[in-house]
Amino acid sequence: MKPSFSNLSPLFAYLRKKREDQKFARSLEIGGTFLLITFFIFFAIKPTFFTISKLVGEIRHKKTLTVQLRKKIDDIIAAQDLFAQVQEKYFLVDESLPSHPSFYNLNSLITSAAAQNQIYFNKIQYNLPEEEIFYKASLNQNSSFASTMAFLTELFQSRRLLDLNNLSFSVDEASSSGQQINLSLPLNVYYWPK
Amino acid sequence: MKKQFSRYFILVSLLTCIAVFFFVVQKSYENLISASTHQEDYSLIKTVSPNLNIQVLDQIEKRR
Repeated sequence: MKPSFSNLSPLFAYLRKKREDQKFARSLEIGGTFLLITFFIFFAIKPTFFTISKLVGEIRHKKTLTVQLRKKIDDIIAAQDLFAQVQEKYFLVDESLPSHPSFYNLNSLITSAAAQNQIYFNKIQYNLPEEEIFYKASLNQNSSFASTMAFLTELFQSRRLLDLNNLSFSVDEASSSGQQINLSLPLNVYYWPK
Repeated sequence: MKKQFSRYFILVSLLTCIAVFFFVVQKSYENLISASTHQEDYSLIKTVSPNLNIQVLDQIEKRR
């Protein structure tokens, strides 16, 4: 007896179903493998990678820091050597920009420079403003123009750091010879407060 | 129905795997970089210049 096509169709249907089941099982296997890999990455590889990357980052950071600190140490040694060379001249810095107002020294400077040019100040006014790096010294006196100019030249040849904002001369009409001028000299005297 | 489910299942698992992989890579890189950016606010590494202006001292010395 010859099998007809109608007799074979359940067999084909069974085979098709079987093949679909196999495909489904294979896709489940593939999907499950991906999920397992994900699980593995998340719970095993992630902590390891995080730790390794952190440690590598810290090692790099320490290496860079070591190089920078070594350079800083070299700079400090160079600065110490240089400072040792100029240490004998440090008094010049202190004379130019003292760490305290040093009124006495300034007073001596002004009076000696003035005395050399026959100028004698009756009064020198000092004003020490708060939170400033300078104080004000105000000088007023009558003298001849030539003496005044010589006095100013002498004063600004000194080592002390002085700043003259403005300078005013006026003819002293009350003087007997009429050649006397009135000098008004407001000075800013710098120092380096600690 | 089964065919559609299996297709989505593979797609979702593959995308999850890729996402987790890139998450781990990105976080690891961030850890690597953040260690070197912290050093910028480290006060000890402020540089010191060893150069002193000695000419100023000579200029002061010339004065009286």
